[in-house]
Amino acid sequence: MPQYSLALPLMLALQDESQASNEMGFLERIAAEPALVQLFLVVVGFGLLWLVFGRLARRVKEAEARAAVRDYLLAMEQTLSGDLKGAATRLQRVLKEDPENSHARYLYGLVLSDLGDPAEAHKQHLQLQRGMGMESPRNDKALAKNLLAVGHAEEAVEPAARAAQKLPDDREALRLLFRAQLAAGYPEEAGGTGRRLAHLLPVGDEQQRVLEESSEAYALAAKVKLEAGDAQRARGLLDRAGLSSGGSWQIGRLQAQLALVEGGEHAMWQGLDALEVKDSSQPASFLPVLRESGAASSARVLAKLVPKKPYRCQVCMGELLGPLPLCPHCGTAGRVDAVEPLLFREIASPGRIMDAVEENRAHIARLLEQVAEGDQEAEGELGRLGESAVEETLAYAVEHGSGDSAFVRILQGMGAAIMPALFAAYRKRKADWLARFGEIIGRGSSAAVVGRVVQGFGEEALPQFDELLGTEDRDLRKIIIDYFIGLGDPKTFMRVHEKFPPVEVIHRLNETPEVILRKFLVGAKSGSFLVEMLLPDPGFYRDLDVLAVIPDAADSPALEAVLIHRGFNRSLTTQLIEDLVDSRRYGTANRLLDSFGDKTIEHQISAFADLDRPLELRVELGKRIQSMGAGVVDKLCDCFGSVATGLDGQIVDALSSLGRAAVGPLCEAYSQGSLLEKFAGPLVNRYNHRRVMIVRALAAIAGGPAERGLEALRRGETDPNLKLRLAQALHQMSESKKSGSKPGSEDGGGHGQAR
Amino acid sequence: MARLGDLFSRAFWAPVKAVMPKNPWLRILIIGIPILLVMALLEPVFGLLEKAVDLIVRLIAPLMETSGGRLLLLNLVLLVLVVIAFLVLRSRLRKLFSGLILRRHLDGIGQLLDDESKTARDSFRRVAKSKALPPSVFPQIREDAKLKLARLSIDRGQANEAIHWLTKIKETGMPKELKRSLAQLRARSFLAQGEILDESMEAELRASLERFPGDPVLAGLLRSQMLQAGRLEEAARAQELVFKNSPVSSREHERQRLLEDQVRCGDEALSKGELELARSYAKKAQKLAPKAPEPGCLLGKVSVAKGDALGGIREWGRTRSAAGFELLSGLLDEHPGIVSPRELLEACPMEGTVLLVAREYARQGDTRRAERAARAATRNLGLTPSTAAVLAEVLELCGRTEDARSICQEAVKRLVAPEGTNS
Repeated sequence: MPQYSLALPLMLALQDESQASNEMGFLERIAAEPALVQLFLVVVGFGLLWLVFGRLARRVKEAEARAAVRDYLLAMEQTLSGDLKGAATRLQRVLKEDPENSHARYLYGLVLSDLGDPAEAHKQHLQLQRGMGMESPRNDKALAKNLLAVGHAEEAVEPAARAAQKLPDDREALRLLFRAQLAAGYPEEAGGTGRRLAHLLPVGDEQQRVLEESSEAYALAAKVKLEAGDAQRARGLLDRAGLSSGGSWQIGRLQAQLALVEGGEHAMWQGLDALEVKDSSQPASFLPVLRESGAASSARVLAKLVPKKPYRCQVCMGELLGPLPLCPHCGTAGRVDAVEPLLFREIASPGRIMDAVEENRAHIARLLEQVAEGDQEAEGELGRLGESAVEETLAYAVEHGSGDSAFVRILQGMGAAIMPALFAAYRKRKADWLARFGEIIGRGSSAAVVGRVVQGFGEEALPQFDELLGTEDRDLRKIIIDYFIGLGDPKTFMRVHEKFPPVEVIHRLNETPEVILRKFLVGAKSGSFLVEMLLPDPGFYRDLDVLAVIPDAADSPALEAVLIHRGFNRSLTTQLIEDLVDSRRYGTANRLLDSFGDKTIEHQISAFADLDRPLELRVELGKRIQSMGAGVVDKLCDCFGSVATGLDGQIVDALSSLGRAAVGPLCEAYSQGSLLEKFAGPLVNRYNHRRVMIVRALAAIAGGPAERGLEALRRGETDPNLKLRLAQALHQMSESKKSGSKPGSEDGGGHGQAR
Repeated sequence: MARLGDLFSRAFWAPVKAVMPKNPWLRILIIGIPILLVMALLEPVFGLLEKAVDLIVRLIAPLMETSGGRLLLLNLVLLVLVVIAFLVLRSRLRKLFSGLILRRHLDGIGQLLDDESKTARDSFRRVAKSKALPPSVFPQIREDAKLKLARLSIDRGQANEAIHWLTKIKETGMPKELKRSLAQLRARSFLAQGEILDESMEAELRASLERFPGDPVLAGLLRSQMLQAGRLEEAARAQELVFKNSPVSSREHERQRLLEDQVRCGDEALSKGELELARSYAKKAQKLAPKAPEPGCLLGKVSVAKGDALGGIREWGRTRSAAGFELLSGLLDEHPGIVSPRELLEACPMEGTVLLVAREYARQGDTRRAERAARAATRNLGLTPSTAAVLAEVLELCGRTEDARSICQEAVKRLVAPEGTNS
């Protein structure tokens, strides 16, 4: 078996060798035929050639498949040569034929953008991105550019950032990102992008400008942080801002702000003194002081903090000399504004401003009109004008009456310094017949107004009036008296006595405004000409003012005596009654009312019976009525009406307070009847309410005489109701006598008795 | 009949046309076979053919006997086949190569659009140097490639290289668009090269402009040339062309340049004393940009030159611009009291003029009015740097240096104070 097992593989091996030798022989035979080899090689060669040819043909077919290839190529050249309209037309045609031609679409977007249609251009680039999956940075750049052009800065940031990320060394991508970040309000990020861009730019103007812009962006970010209260972060940003620009005016301003926040005003000034602004250009030339080297130090500091050119692009913050429609730095249209736009604002009425500067008559007239409309500011302005405004103000004051108008106040506010101008204006008006005529038909007179005005002046005007004391001019004399009254000094007033008759003075006193007269009367003293001669004069009718100043007067008794001397008058009595509730005037009022005697009784009872008056006053008057005695019973009984009123109880109280002395007059009043009965005649026989009240008053008085009086009345009474009332009253009296209490106290009666 | 003929050709000939190969030789062969068959029916002809075949077989038979003979025979057959293949595929190959050029050119344009200028340049160079037939869709492909190469060279600042490429361009048969580019690039490259004489350059540009009237690029180049030569009027005329034909996106920019040119012409005329000419330039500029301050400033200068200072101030005032103020301020500096402050403000009714009025009064020594004017300006404008500066100047002129300093300090404080706290 083992032998057999060894022989079998050997045999097989020999068989394989013979087969292999046969195959080798066949290949050798083929190799021996060079034509066959050549044929084989030719076939292989043709096959390879066919493959290459096929591939190339496929590529060519692709190229040729680009329909309208001629249009596309020419459109490209047209775009490059600036024939944008022609290029747009051709590209439109190309895209109609071959909408998937991404290059043509991209080019069309660029052309549209240059033709001023960024919205449509954006659509094309968006189609490329979304519809054709083009994620190329150039398309992102185009997207960002068009979004910026249509004002969608926020949306432009993303594609610009994408492009800048993919092409970190691409200046345009960084420039777009910088603009987008600035416009979208990311100043800090914009600052960083600006720095990156500046590093890519060659040394020169553009690099310098980008560096400045990035510094401004950092400064803006610092400002935001500072306003948010993050001073530390603001400082950091400011340091970064200052690194490149070496201190522009914006950075200077921010540094000062930061110094103010961190170290206060002192630190700010120190910082400003040390601040070096390296801007080579001069400040805006409209600032003349800032231009001059010899200006004050503060002006020099100011120069460090202001823009150097009068216009500024609101997008890139670039400074410009003129209001260009297109910013030459960033290319944005219509965003260049003046740094101080108010400087160029039109003045509606330059004449008015010049009038105000010149302070001429037109200006004054305008101010006076404003004062007439209640403009406080104009009032102040006029007061400040002084002498130059006196004449016109006086005319207005006369026109508006001699009262205490705003114009009089203005003239008074100008002070005694205007005296010469005031009298000059007065004389001028007096000499002018038209003005005089106006005064005749108008509301006031110059003299009265001047009189009012001078009453507001102090002693500084005295010398001028001393000179005028001898004048015979009637109006001027009035003015002089008015001035002395206004001065309020009795000693000085003696000069008036010496030069003017009392009647003339009294007339002026009567015309004097309340405030001034009272000020004048306060100083009046016993034995003076004023107290002894003028005030008691019947021609003087300002009793109420005399009464008003008594509590504050230097000599109150003297003024009281004056009023007592002048005697009763209705208005004074009315005021005196009012004064009964004024603690400062109570004594004077009581004394004067007492001094006027019975003439005031009816006024007092009337006031007592007036429910509208304060209770306090009526209580006070009740006390006074009580002190008047039985003589007032009749008058009090006349206060009862034909029916019950809320007043009845108080009158009953007042009557009862008079005591037993009042019993007789009450009984008499009971029998006499009321005035109503007299006037009613045959229509009504009797008004019983009055009698019922008298019965109650008698019952309230109590005591023997009252009881007897009631008894007598009951006997004589025929009316059963009244009789019953009288009996009831008598019964109550007897009951109360037994119990020891007052009879009226149990009687509810519904009349509010004995409050 | 014609209809019937059309119908026949559509119904019967069209399928035959579709089946037939496109190669004309093959078509001839296919059409020729039936003819030969008919000819075979004729015996003499057949016999002749038979003799010919027999002769060929006799010639081949000895060759088939040996390896060398067989090899020779095979080579001969292959050669004949290659020749036939070449003849059959020649047009197709030509088309293939021209298609390859087109493909390369399109690739180059794509690279150009992708800002890959280096690879784009290589592609265009290969297209330009290619000997293959141009594609039928765009036969001027080489010219286009050369134009692109020239453009890229100019962009790289290599004017000589650009001229080299442009010189190689055959203008014959070129479409108008390419000719226009050629004219532009030629002018640009010569200008960049800088050795061409100004006269030649001008002639070249004018000739190009005659061929392509209103071309903004050529007009822009002519403007630069004219500016360089100091011929301002002609520069302005060229810029007018640029402005009229510029796209919307650059319209404002070109308008601004035209405005500058016209104002520059006006200034030149003014300096020569040609006041009416200057005025006409100013009016033209005003019509071009009614809101721009420059024409108004020029008009004002013309008025002042005519001796009408008030008219000048009025014109400057109408501009509502810093430039107008600047001129106004300069006039007052040079000729103090040339107009009264009232006339000044009425002629130039702007808030800023009140500041000038204040300064005028201060210079005249009328301190009270100066202060009042400064106060009025401050009231209307607030304490801005400008008002503070003028107020300080007025106060200094009035001898109140301390007040001037404090005003400036106040202005500084306001500038520095946080926003919203200024009042």
